Amino acid sequence: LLKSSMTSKAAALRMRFLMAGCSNRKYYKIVVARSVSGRDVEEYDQVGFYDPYINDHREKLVALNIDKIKHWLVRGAQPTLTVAMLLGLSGLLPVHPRSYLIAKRNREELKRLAEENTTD
Amino acid sequence: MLHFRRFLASVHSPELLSRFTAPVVQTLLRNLTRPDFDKIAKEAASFEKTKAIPYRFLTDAELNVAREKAKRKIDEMLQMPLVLDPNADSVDRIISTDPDLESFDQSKMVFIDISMSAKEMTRSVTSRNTDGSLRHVNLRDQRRIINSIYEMEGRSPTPPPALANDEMLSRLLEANEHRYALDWACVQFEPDDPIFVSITNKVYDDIDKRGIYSTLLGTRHYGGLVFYLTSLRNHAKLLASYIKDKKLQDTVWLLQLHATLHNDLSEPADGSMESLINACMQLAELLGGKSLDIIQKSLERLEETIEK
Repeated sequence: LLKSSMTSKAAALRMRFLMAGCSNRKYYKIVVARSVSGRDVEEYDQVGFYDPYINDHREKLVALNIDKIKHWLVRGAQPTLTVAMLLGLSGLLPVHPRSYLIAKRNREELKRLAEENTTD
Repeated sequence: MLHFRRFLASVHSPELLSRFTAPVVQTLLRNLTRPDFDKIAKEAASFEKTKAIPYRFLTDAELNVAREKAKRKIDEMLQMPLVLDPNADSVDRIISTDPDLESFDQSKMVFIDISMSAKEMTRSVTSRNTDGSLRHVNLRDQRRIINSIYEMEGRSPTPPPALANDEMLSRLLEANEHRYALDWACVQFEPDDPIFVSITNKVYDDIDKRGIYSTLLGTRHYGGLVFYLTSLRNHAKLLASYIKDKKLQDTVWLLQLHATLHNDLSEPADGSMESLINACMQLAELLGGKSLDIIQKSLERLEETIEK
């Protein structure tokens, strides 16, 4: 029988970012840890990484250890907002509502900029 | 897309390519390679750290075991790189569309599955494009991305300039580093990568142009070279070089290879010189053009030496 963290008295199990790299070149590891542990503590497992910088091929790379993510989701790890958004964009989970919101805002911004450029 | 593939695969028909792995063809290519144990052993030794050569006393049985082990190692080192139709898949297949996600970010996001259960080169690589669609990344990009994350011994994350660039490759070839270029290409690329096919073709063409077949003789690449030339019907010069060097057994094998691949030549019936010369003439006539002249000349010189 799997013991979900919901039944235990320990702090919430999270799937979240751990910031790595250096100030001007950050990248994030997707990590499973208790919510009370420090930000850069990989308590249980690393399940992927996210590189926020666009590479030479105009891509942002995200590695996801699907097997491990599924395992930890079952064990009750709650993804944080950005991790949940990434999982939604990847297709593993449903697309997060916030992704739709950000997309809509971006489209409106782009439209506004386009109109400004045409009027100039 | 079919047109594009044909352009890249224009040197071979897929049907001919599929014959590469036929046991008959493989045996002939292996024979023609004339394994040179010293050449292979030297290459193997150069990669290993220098260590004292061990000398051992062995019984006959142990000696046989050691010989078998060495033979297996040599067979492994002589494995011919596969000749395949270059897979120029450049299409990102759509999984789902989502117009509401358009412009969710400045660039597309690529997701790589790093599960232990996923197999190396066929890991799922998907991308969420800026138009909101979720797609399987095309084969070329998939391999590039997997290479940048997963290290393979000897393989660099990005293709080295010497292989990716025509000019740089020519420099390597001018310096007679054909084997080096091919070894490197084997490590860096998959056999059906269009870049791999293009590099090997260029190297083989250069060798054929300069007639320096001995650079690859005794190595794992020789089979690929002979297959390339024979399947394209460009093996006249190679045949002539065999005749010139009195490599008559090799000549027979090459004729047998042509017969197997093209089904338009009757092989030399018996082991006599006359039937061999006849078969060569028949091949020369089949090939025609310059090839006819090249083979005829070499046969004339052979006959002169026989008369002497």
